[in-house]
Amino acid sequence: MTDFSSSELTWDAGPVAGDLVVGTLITDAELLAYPYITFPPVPRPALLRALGSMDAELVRLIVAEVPHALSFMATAVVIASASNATGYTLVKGFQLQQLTYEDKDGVLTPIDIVTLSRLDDASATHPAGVIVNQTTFLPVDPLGKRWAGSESRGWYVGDGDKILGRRAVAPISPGALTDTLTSPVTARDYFLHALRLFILLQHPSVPEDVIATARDRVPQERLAVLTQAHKMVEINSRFGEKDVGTGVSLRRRILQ
Amino acid sequence: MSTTGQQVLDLAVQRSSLNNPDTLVATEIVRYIANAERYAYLDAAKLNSEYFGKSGDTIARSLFTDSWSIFVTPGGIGALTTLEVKTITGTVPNVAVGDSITLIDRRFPTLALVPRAYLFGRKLFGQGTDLGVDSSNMVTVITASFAELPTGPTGLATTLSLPDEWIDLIVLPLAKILALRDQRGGEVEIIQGEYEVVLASFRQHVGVLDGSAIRPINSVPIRTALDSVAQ
Repeated sequence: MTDFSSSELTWDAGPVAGDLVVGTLITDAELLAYPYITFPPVPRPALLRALGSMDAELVRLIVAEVPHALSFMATAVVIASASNATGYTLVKGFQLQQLTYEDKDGVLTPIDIVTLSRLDDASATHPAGVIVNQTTFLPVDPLGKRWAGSESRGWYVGDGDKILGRRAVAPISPGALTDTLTSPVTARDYFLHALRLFILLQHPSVPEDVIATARDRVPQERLAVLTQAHKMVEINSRFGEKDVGTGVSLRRRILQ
Repeated sequence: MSTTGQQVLDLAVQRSSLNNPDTLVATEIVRYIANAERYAYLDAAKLNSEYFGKSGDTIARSLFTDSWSIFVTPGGIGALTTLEVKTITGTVPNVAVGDSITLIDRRFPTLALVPRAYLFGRKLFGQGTDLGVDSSNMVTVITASFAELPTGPTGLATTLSLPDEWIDLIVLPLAKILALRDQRGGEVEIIQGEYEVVLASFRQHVGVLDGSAIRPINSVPIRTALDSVAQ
């Protein structure tokens, strides 16, 4: 069984996430919370769990709104005709994106991901596939025979063809101060202020207005992260949104 | 610190012409002096653990399952503040010389990151394999920083540890005992009032000595049984 693992295309090498080191975030958040730092300080494991929870929440939000903001290229899955019936195991991810079929000549065709009830739908838009149990890709047989028999099919031949795709990595709760978060580095201020609020809430004598100010800052920073995720890539054609392009494209539109 | 137990006794006796030092035996006097001195050190430890701060190394253990009897070596520990790795034999994962060891409660090991240690039965133990995986790869010596607890006088000739400027913290309780033994109750109240003024000054000094140091706002000091003991 093969599975998605690391990136393939050089221009996509290296994740956007992974730059937020939890130890640095904790230190910076405690400095932000000064002078309301407890002694002894808040246990590090508690802060790590808090950061892990915040990271998971933010990744879910980003992936739901801007899937391409946390998206890594996966290693191609090489088709083996004998494996079509049982399917191909994928690495667990938070979201699978842009599953594409590449034939032996390098021609790319988007894979239509359908529901399990259409696994035997020969009239589906091929190539098609079903994801079951979050990790298994079942290719849809164009003949509707669940890959039984020796007839040749036009898709998932096993002659060097592959399945390509992208995935958003599921965040892992950090266990050491040297671990990094999955969220992009642009979320640094969100984590700082959210963690600062967490630290302030442990202190017995923080003034209420300080708590209120800290509490109000967190959703503002979260919104800023999501906004930044939307604006991270200039996309000229997006349903329901004005062009975020440069002045050149704006002039072109005005002059047309 | 040059005041001896005998000098403390003399100062207490000289407070009143009615004081009779023969109402107390020498061993009794030494215990009263030791208790008063210890109280002053513990009171300072609660307010500012650096005031009577001290560092000392443990012995070098020979087995990774051994504990450290830190109340023997380095000893004189009033309040343990920090622990650091001093010497390592071989290699211990995630631990290097100079690393800080987190002091945990034996019941709640998950509240701190590696390396961890806890006190149990007045001995220091490493949590699990945090400080050693076998006797060839282990932390052997730890440097402990603590608020000192004085060893106390063994006789009237012993030089006391308490700084001379605060020696009244020992003289006045001893004078109060002399007055009590002589059944001069009225004088006890006067001495107690004087003692509370000196104690307040001492506490203020302990707090302001390094008051300009940058530190988090301290939590309210934890009240202990000592706060309710009549002096």
